[in-house]
Amino acid sequence: MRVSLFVPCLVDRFLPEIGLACAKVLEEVGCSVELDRRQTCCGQPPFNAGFPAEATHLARRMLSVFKDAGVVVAPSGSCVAMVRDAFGDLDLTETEFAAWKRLRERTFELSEFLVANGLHVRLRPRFKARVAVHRTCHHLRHAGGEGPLSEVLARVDGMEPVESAEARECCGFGGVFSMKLPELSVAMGKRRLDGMLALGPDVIALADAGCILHLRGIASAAGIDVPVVHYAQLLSDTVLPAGGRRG
Amino acid sequence: MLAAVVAEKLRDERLQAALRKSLATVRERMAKARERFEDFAEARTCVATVRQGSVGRLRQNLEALEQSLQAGGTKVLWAADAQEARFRLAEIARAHKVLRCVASKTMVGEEVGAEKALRSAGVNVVQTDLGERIVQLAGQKPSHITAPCLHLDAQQCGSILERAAGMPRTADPEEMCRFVSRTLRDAFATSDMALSGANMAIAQTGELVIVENEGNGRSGYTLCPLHVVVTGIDKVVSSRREAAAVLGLLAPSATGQDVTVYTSFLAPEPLPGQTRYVILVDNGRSAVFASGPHRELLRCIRCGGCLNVCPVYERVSGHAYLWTYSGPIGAALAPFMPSGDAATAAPDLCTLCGACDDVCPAKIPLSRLIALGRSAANAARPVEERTHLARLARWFGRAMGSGGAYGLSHLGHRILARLRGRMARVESAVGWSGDRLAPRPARRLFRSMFRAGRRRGRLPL
Repeated sequence: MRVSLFVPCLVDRFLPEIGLACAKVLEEVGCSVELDRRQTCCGQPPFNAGFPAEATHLARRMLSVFKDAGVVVAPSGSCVAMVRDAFGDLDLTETEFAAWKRLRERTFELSEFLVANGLHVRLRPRFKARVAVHRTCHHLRHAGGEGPLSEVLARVDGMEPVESAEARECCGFGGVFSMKLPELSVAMGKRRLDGMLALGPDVIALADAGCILHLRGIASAAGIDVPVVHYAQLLSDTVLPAGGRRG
Repeated sequence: MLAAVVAEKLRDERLQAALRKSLATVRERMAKARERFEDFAEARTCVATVRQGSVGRLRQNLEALEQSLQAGGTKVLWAADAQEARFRLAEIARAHKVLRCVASKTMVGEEVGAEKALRSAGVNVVQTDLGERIVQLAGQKPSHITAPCLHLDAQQCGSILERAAGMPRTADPEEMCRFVSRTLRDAFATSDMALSGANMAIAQTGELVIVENEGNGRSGYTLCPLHVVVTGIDKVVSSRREAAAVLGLLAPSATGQDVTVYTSFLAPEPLPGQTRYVILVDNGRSAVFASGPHRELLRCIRCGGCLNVCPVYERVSGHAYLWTYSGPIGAALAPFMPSGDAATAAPDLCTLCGACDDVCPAKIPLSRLIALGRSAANAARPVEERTHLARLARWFGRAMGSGGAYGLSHLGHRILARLRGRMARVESAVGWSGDRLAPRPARRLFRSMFRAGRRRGRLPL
C-alpha cells in the first residue's frame, strides 16, 4: 500500500527520530512510504491561538499538497484531529471544502491506520521494558482512541505496559497554552509525570510530539532520566537508552 | 494579570488539596451514576436533541412562556442586561416595601448582581444555600456553578461559620448544615421576599422547575409573600417531556446523584396571597444565539459537569476565570457575554483536551467552541497585546507558509540556539525555561534525513 507521510512540524524540526521510526514501521508492514516535501504545518498552532485566517492559509496549503496523495498517515493524534475535525471550521471555499472532505477520509493516525488494515500483526518488535503509557487527548478523542494504540503496543514482545488511573488526563501541554500559562502547564505536566513515574517505568510512551517535548522538558529540568518517547519508536525498536543522543 | 491569578492559586496548597479531593470524589460519583444508566449515550443524545430543539424555538418558546406565566398570574419582566435586571429587582423590592429577603442558589442572580441590587434598595439579603451562605459570610463569590464553596475545605468552611455566625467549632458538613438551617429558621419566618433562580421554565405549562438538595429554596418561596425568580432566557424548554429528559441527566452530571433531593415544578399560579415575578434575563444570550456555532452553548443546563472533569479547573478553581461562570462553559461563554476581563482571559484557561466534551449532558462541543471563541477573545484584547499576538501569528504563518521560509526558519532557529544568551531570553519569553527545558532544534530536518536515506536505500536509523 502506498502511504504518504504527514509529518508534524514539531517532529520534522525537533524530533526527526519519530518520523524515521514511523517510516520504518510502515515499511516493515509492507507499505511504500512517500514524503511530499512541500508540506509544512497543518495550521493547528494559529487555529488554537484564535487566528483562523493564518490557520486557513496553512490548511489550504495542506489540502493542495495532499490533493493527489493516497492514504495519509501521521504519527500524531492532534495533527490528525486538526485535519479531520478543525479544518471544517475554517473559512474554506466550496472546492476546498470538498477537497477537505476527501482528505479527511484518507487521513489516519499511525496506530489507527495499522489496526484498521490489520497490518500491525506483521510487526514483531522486541522491547524488554516496563512502559508507562500516556493517552494523549486528541489521539484519544479524535484520532484512533484507546483501542488501536493498545493493540499495536500488545505486539511488542517483552514489553510490559503499565497505565495509571489518570493515564487519560491531559499532561498540560495544550500548544499555545504551554506558552501563555507556563506555570500552570508545568504544574499539570509534573503531576502526570509523577503519576507515571510512580509506576516505576523504564520508558514513558505516548502518541504526540508536543506532549513529548513538554514532558521531556519537565523531566530533564528535574533531572529525571526516564526516556519519554513516541510509541512508534517502540514499534521500530529505535528507543535510545536513558540520556542517549542520536547523532 | 491572568498569569498572576493562576500563580497565586497554584501556590495555595490548601486550595490545591481541597480541589483535588472534592473533584476526585465527584468524578467518581459521576462515573458511578453513568454506569447506573441502561444507555447513558442515548440519554445524552436525547438531552442534546431536546435542548437543540428548545434553543431553535427560543423566540416562540419565550413568547409562549410569557403567556403561560401571565395566564397563571405570574408577572413577567424582561431584562436586556444586568443593569436592567438589577433595576427591576430594586423596583420590585421598593414597590413591595421589602426589608428582608431569603435567597436560594441562582447563578443568573450572581451574574446580574441581584444581591447588590437588593441591598442598594435597603433589603437585607440572606443566602440560604449552605455553600452560598458560607461564601456570603466570607465576603467571597461562588467558585463553582453547583458547588459554591468548592474552593474551601471543610475546616475553612467551619471556621468561617464559627467566626461570622458563632457556630461551635466543627469540620463536619452535616453539623454545619444543621447549624445553618437552625439559624435560618428565623430568616425564613421573617422575610418578606424569596429570591430564587430556575433550572428550567416550561413554555407550554408555565411551570418553573427548581432542583435543590437542602430544601432551603422551597422553604423560602412557600413561606414568603413575594417570590422573585431571576433566570436566563436560555432556560426555557418547550414541554414537560423535554424538562423530564433534562432532569434525567442534570443531577447525574452535577453531583453524581440520580435525582436531587427536591425537584419542584412550580405552577404559574402563585400560592394564595403570594405575588410572583419572573425576570427573564438576556444579558448577552441573544448575542450568543447570533454568533454562529456558539449558539450551541445555549444548550447548557448549568450542571457544572464540565468543571468537575476539567484538569485546568482542578488547578485554578472558579475564581481564576474572573467572572460568574468558570470551567469550560465559562471559558466558552466569556467572549460572547458581558464578562469584563474574562472575555479575553477565560478562554486561555483551557488545554483543549476535551475531557468536558466527554461528559457534557447536552453534548456541547466545548473544546471546539473554546478554540473558536479565541478569535473573538483576541479581538477584545487591549490594542498592544492584540497587535503583538497578531504579529506572532503572522510571523508563524509566513514561516510555515512556503517551503523556502520553512527551511530558513529552521536554520534561523538553529543559529539562534547557538547564541545561548539570546536563545535563553526567547525561551523564557515563551515560558519554556526553568522548570521545563526548551527543546533544541534538530540538526537536520526529518525531511532531509528521509531524502538522504532514500538515496542511500535505507533510512538512517
